[in-house]
Amino acid sequence: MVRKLNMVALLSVIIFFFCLETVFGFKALDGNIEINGYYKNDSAIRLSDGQSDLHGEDTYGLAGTAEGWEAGDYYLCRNTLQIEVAWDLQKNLNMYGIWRGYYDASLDINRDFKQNMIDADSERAIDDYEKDTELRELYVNIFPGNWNFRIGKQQIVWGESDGFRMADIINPLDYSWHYFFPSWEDIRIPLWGADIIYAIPSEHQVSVELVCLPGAFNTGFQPNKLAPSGANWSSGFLNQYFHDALDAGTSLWTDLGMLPSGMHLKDLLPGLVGAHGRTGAIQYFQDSMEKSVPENSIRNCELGMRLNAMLGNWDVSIFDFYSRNDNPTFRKDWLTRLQSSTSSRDELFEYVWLNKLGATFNVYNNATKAVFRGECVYTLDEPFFPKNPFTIDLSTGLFDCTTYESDTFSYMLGFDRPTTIPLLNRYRTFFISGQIFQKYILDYDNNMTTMDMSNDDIQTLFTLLVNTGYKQDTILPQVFMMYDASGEGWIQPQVEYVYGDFWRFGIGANILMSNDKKQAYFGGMRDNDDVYAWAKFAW
Amino acid sequence: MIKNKKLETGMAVFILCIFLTPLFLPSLVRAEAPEKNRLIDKSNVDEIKDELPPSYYFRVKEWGHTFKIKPVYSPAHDFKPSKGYTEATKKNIGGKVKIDPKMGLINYYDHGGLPFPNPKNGVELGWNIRWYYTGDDFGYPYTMHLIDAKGRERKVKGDWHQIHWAGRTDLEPLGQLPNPKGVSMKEVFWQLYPYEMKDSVVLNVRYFDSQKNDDMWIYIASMRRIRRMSTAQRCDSFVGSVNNWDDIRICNSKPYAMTYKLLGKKDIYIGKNQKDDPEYNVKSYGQSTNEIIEKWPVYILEVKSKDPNYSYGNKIIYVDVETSKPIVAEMTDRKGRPWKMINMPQRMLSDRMDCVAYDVYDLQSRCTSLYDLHTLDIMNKDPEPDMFTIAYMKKVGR
Repeated sequence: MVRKLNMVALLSVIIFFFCLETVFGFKALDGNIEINGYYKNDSAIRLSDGQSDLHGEDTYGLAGTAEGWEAGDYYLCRNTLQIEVAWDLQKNLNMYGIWRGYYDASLDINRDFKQNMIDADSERAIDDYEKDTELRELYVNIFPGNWNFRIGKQQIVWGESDGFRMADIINPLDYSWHYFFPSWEDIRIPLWGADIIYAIPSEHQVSVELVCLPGAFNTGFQPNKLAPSGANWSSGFLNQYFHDALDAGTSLWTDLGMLPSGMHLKDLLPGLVGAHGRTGAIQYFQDSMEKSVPENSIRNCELGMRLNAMLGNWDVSIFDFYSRNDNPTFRKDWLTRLQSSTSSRDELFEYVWLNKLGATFNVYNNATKAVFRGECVYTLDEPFFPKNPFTIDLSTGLFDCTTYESDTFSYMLGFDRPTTIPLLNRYRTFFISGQIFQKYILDYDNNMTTMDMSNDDIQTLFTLLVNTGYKQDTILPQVFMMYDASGEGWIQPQVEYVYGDFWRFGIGANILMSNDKKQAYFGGMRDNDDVYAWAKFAW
Repeated sequence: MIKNKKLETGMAVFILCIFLTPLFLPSLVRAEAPEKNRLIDKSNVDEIKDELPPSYYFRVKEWGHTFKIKPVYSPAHDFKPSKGYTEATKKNIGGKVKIDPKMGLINYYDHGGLPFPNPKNGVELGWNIRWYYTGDDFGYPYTMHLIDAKGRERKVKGDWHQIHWAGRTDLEPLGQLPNPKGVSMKEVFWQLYPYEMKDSVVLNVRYFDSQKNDDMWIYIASMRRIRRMSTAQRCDSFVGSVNNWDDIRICNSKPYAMTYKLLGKKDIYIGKNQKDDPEYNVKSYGQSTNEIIEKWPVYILEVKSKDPNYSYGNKIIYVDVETSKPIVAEMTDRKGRPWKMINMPQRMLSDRMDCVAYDVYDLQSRCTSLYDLHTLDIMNKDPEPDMFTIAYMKKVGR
């Protein structure tokens, strides 16, 4: 009954917006308040069956009550309503807020999807995954003279790169419903804090920026958000990692005589086995990651600073950001904690503090008619997962998970060149943008592994973006491609159609390629190819 | 008795005249109307074909557009440039301003005015087009109506502000603002509508150095980020409209990037002295239904890009002799076929020369872009120079 009511409500909203002929940004108080927003439906269909052979056995649906993910599954039907309010209070003072609510109808359209998550022991996460409302952003802008204070819940964006993040490090991302494919404005998780900029009067347009995210009160630390286990975009990396780790641990413990031959670690360790077999382990660890998030406290205050200037034709900046890692790592004593009977058994991970130093630049070059841009980040003591977290200190016989840290250096170089190709488009240029990313792990150890790299000490990525516009920019085709030199890739073709002032429709695909399931970005998800579409009514 | 009869007769005639006068008055008015507001349509446009820009003739013949003409020269209008600009222009008489291939103009930026009061060739007229009187700054909100061949319409709204960094004649500091980088002009475009473009801001900076491309940054609201843009492809469409970046205000190109040829001077019907705000019939390829044009002397200037990949073959600009302001432009494609037409009618008020409309017609695809300029050209508002900086873009961005 509830399911039918939800569907009726959804259809009613869709029909309502189709019937509207004239809608406009609502203004009040002599135009000082402006209310805008949108209603959007994001839908997606799988092109391939799910990775059932991740560990030699079905990953999903071991209880036999669900099919797992299959080609043709309409796995995403997310409906979002977003309301934005901009209020000019007085000169040099304004306020901005976004409220957002969403409902993913796919779980009601196909009951097997919910069963997938139940089978994976993430039933308690279904409600939040399916629907939610939030005050997404709310901040005040005060800008007297050369100062700019932005205080409240906000997104703060640094960096020059597209498609992959390097200097865009302040806000975590929500990977849960469509990985990192949606616009990042929609999947960045806004944080409470202050962003203060002072523009120093000078010919070089120097500005100094200070970012403070207190971490106290209700403004606590937020990590990246992952999909619950059993959901379509549940982390391929975690799936692969934990299964390999359990195998590695089983092998070690068998050799040490700590495990009878024929037994598996999953059978030995309490809490790792969910209601439906080994698939519960992933959600158990994900639940633990959530419980390991540090409490609200001023001691969790994250700080960043950036200096920007125009030096000749070069727009440059240097920055430093001291914060907790948005991805967790195992605590050194996690196995001991797992054995304990106190609440610490649930907190197996930690979000370590990192210091990231970096720089960015962009410059226009007359000879090539292109803009060149770049950024680099040096991270001190970046943590990595051990390949085998089930290690034991042989001298003491105690569990001792080896943790790995290493300084890393990453950089991106890119170019943007609008190019005229009259044969293909007389009115519009083709925007061509290419990038190379490289990351070096400076103290690489063969026993470490990482969420965003294959098991190498150097990662090299190339990306290419091409887009243009036809029919007075009512038809907007685009293709984005990525190639990782270790052997994975991603192609995203899409086209958007603009109808009138309010409607936009689009269709696209994500083609994911990987020659090894171990590869980080798409290895565990290489069968998650999909076709997606959206309809958006914005005013 | 006789006296009374004469009086009566006289009064009868008088009264009769009063009653009969209205019958004659309209005919008196009608007798005057054809000379002031003659309607031109398909049936009679051939009579004035040689006195019209060819694109006007095309629109009448092919699209059924109409307009009215005043066949006689209008009385003098009220507009005069400011005293500062007029004095500065006098300083330039006698060829004091020179053209340098690298630096643009020499002996100009510290005092401004019309650089070549008596232009001898196309290049000098090209520079005049860049520096005709617009005050030391101007700005106005606009609504752009993008209309396709079937009459379907979309809107883009924005707010445009431009400031002269050099050649200032009206506001302190005269001459130049602090200018270590040799900036000649800065402008910002704030996008207000539709939703996807709202809160995006474009900052464009132009330099004295003719060979140096403009610098441009865009705050893209959906990315929450400022992005540096290449300005080399100036023939790219402006936010999806029929016109490109070089077509803004008819001729916004870098003078060094173009060749100029003065084809002559002629009396032509143009919209220099419009009285009313334009009204449009969107379904009829954006026809202005109350356009009245009158004969004025214009320079005819041919502009060609030095870039072999430029989208236009050439651009013919009809430049008002009195003000050096371009009023009409016609562009061909690379095969020499008529392609686009820009009509930028003016209104000559006592304190400003107001651009009442900016209409761009694609003669091949029948799409049009009509700019509804809400308010008059607001000149000399004296905005803070800091408004034209990257830091300001970050302030106003969401």
